[in-house]
Amino acid sequence: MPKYKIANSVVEIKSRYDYIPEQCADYICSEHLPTDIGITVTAEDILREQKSCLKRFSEGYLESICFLRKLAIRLLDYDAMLLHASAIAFKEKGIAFLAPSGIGKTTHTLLWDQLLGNDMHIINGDKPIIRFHENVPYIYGTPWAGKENLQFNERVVLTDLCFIERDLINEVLLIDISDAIPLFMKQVLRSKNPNDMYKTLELSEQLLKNCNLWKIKCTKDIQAAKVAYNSIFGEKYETQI
Amino acid sequence: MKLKYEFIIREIGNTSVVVAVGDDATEFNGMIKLNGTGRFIFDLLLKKIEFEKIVDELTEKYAVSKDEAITEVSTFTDKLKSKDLIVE
Repeated sequence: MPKYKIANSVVEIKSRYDYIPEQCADYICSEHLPTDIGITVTAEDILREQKSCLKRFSEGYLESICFLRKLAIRLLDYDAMLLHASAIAFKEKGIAFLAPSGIGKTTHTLLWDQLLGNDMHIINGDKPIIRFHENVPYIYGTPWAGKENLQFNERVVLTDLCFIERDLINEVLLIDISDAIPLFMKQVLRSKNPNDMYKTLELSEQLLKNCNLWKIKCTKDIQAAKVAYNSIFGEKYETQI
Repeated sequence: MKLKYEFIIREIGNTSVVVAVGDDATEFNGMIKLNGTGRFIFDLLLKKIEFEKIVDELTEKYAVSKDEAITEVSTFTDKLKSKDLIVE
């Protein structure tokens, strides 16, 4: 049974379908390391997941989603949390773009890619994992990378959280934790279990305190990436249009 | 009057953040941000304290008149009711 190394944890799953082995191919653990997390996905889990979806999905895809949900909860014990975001690495900084589905995280990420070219990596296009090592947040690529499958198996220190809003102008504002909380919490995996949810809030606080927090109002053209880049890598506290 | 769901509270920065947990938590997927007075009242609601007793506690804690406390608690609980977070 293959083991995967995801967010620096060795994870083992006995999958029924080919979907997970194919999806996680870049994350196979080639070292002989003990398993940190063992995940079991049952037929009941898959059925429950399908019932919660509006569309019909393949069993393999549903098994992968169940795997991710269970993994995300288990990773809390390792000071790690799943985030709904796209993330890039540039100049040793990790930058995450957060927004509800359909707002344009991927579009904005690809504009940065267009602007910066090969000097930039897209770490993950949909569901990266944040893990703290000695109180420093690192953002890790994962195999769950959205329909475009934008992912790279690497980690970088996460320095900036950018909350994306679609607008007719490009404007970047540095915001405080209080303003960021509601935007951030919408992109976090919620748990029914009080202890898990409490841990999620604890890690959220640690992350929000450690990162620069930006609200990026943006268009869909390259100017949006330029304005955001200038703010994050240039002078702070400056609003640019 | 009682809270409809099980909730947990945690300070994030200077803000009290409230989220629902438990089996019914998916019905309320939002979150509540509380200021100092709101946190005080919400903590009492979590302890299943009745309206009149909350008013008394608020009067004592913040040295306000009973009428002011009634207005404060009513305004707060009405907001929770409007979001369907309190049941009678």
